[in-house]
Amino acid sequence: MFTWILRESYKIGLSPTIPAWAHDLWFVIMGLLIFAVIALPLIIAVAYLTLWERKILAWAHYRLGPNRAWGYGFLQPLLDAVKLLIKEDIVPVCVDWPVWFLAPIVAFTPMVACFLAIPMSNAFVNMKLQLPGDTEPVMHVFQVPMIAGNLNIGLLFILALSSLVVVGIFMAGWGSNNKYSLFGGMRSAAQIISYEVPVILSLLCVALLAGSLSTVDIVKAQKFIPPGEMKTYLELDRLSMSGSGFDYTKRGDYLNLDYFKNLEGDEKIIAAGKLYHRYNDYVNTQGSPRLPFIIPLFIAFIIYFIAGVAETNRSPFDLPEGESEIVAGFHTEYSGIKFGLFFLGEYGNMILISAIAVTCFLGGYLGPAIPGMSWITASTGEYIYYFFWFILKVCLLVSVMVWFRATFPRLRVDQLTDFAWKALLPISFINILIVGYMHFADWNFISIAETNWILWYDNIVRPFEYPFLRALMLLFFVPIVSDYVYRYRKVIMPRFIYAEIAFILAFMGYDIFTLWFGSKTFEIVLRCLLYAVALFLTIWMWRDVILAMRSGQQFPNLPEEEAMGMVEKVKPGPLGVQETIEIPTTSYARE
Amino acid sequence: MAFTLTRIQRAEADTIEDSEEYILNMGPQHPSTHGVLRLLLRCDGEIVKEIKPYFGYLHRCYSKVVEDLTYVQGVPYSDRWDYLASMTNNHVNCLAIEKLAGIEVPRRAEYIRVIIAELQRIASHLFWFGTQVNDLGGYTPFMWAVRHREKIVDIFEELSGARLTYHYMRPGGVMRDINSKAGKWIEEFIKELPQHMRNYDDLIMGNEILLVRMDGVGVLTSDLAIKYGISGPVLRATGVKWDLRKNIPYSVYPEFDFEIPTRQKGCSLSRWEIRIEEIRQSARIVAQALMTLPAGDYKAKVPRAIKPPKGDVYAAIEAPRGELGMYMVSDGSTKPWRVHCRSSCLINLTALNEITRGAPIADLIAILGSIDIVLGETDR
Repeated sequence: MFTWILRESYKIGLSPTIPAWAHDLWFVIMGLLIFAVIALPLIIAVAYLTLWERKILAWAHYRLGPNRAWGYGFLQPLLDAVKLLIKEDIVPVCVDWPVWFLAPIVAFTPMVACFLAIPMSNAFVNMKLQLPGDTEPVMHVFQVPMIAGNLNIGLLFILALSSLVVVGIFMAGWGSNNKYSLFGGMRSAAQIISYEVPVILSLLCVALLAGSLSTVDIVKAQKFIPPGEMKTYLELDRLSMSGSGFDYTKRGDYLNLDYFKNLEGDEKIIAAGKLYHRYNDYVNTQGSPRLPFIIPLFIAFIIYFIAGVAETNRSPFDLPEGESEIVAGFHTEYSGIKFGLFFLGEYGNMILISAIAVTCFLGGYLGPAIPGMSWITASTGEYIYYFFWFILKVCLLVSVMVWFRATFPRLRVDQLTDFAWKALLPISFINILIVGYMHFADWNFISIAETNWILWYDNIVRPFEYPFLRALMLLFFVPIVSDYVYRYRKVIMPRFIYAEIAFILAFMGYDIFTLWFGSKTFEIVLRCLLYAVALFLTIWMWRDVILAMRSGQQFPNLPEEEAMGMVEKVKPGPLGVQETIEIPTTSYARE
Repeated sequence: MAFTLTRIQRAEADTIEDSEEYILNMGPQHPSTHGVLRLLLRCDGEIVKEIKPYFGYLHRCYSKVVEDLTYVQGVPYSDRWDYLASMTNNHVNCLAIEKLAGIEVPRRAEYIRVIIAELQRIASHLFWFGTQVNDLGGYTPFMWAVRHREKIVDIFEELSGARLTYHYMRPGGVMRDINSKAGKWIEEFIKELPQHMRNYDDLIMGNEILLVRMDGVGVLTSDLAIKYGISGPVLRATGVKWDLRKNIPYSVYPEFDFEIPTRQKGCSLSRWEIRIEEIRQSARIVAQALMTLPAGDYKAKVPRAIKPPKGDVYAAIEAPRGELGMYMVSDGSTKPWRVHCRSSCLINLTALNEITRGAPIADLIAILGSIDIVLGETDR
């Protein structure tokens, strides 16, 4: 939207012939406008999210939240902000000052920047302009999404930036010169990077269905196309392929279509322009199921949402913030507005995760065609209508996150990372395979034979083979023999490294060889051979462990270890254990 | 993280290569040590190798102070041991004095004492439940538990005038009779309790996260428990069916029909389940006692200055946290010669190192909560 504004400003007067300072000043004004329109409302929204959270938590606890400031507490966020601003800024001695000082900024800024790639609304704008090449002012139709910049790689931009937050947290943990903070920082870093992978794999499914990484395209791909409109598009498809010279990327060609026979002048241009934009959206999002992606990608949504909650250090994943064990974790040593920045950063992250989930899974700014819609769009415009739906959906998801906090206790940090690597990650992998299959089968649940299996294999399975194989090796063997891993840790680590090098060389050699050789049969044969080699390497790595397990030995003897102490068994004590009575309630433990 | 070695193996294993042990101090001021308890942890990464508890931050020289006070004057001091279960502290103090001086307590007073003691047990367990689940991150059950406990505190306020340290049980009986208002409130509370327990069940008890935090964490075996002198729900969780109300009965407990919950596993979840079950059993006792409350005096005729004969006595009750004992030595005068409180929390706390070493620090919080200590009683 802002690139559109900039382009239009060139057309309406900002020409290269104006002096350099005026040129730059215009850009500065545009930058401030972007800040004002995106960052300022965001900060206010984040502040009021704190109030909303306190209210929901309070209602869950059967009490009222803040209700002293302005009726229902509406002035509370401002008062909190003022309180934080006027607090004394305590700098502990021996902190690593640059690291400590920059940490809140590094944790807060990428989150704000991510909002530049999230579309909040969309509308058609008709303007009578004289563009270079027109002899007189002519009506032009633009489609203007409410986004700071419609990047082709919007989703990648968001994912990359949101990963920078962990750097800030790490910096806070290290720079504070405090064991508790270091704990919290380490835990948090481990947690966030563990949960990055399921997030990315889930959003990969979205990118697959939408056919694009641009967030605006992702939202447009989720728009349902009614049969009447679809008929129009199919006819335009036929027209493009018929060789009559109809170019769907040229606006002028649309004016000659039959649909606008009865319209004249400006009306005709507007209608044709709208059709041009709509048809282009349709073409750019070919192959998507035209439904909010939560319906085909339900599992991906669940994985994304859970992993997203973990990314923001929110309950039930808020162990790095401790509150019980390590007082406050990585932000123990921050007071005043520095703590406020971390705090706002966390809540802003919540809104960001919800906004991404809404954009990718719930249809972004799209809303249903409610009965009074034409009246609403006529009087207030489509912009407001779509924006309202976006805000509603984001509020809903954010409330669910707060609901999580009210309900669930905390996971321990190793259980947390176990959950990411052993539960979410395998499910994400399998999800991608299945979604890829369904995508290439055109979501046809009945007939397997109509699937384009080669496309599925080449595009979905092949990129994941190598990492999948390695992950399988670890994930399936480690839980079974994890005792042995710990005892053998000094022996197994070098073996892992040798096996890793062997794998890399083998697959590299295979790629080079098949590129040179070029036969498909040979490729398949060689791949099977390589899998056999991988399996052999795995078994070779665990050879003495497997031998010991087969011979029934509890622990194979390592030279430097002796027998350990007692093994815990429940023995009957002197007063007897046999007389336990059956109380008619169930034990909550899983037996 | 270390993998699935047993806890003791982890505790005694070498450190992971290139890492050092470090000392972490969970100081007297900490949100989760339930009072002013200092724990010195020797840790390797996240694993606790050894714990040294330092207590005494709340020591108020109780034993010395009451040597200068008469027996009756010393009773309010017992309120301040386990300040979350004040009535039972009074109960053991009065039992010791009555045993020493040979005072006979009327039946109505005994029944009132049982009702109050069991209500206090419910209140104490509710508060324990709230604080433990608060430490684990569940804020909502904490608020609900404290709110429901308020009803009991209101009952006690009606009866004794105070909300925390009641000084309600006196040698020879209780301070004031149960009036109709208090009786009505008790009845309403008992009637509403099953619904509240069902709410807690729905909200938190079957929650996977809670089970995973508590199940198999902090296992204590029964022979160790007996060696350390553990009592209360901690002991019953290890499989030993030992409850002073049934094994060494005092007051009128033999007249009531209730069960002692026991579990085999000895982990935090077992302790948790036992306390939840004890709430239900206590409600059962209160209901029976209310229905069969006899008429009579609520207090025996006790001389103004109690002068027990020379001798010593040990009286113990089943307090919510374990066996709370009182050892009194009388030299024939109006003031005791020596008084000692056998603190259940202190004895239970001595097992902390044994059951926590080798566990991650997060488990320490779960275990410390499930042992349920109050520093007032630990330090006296």
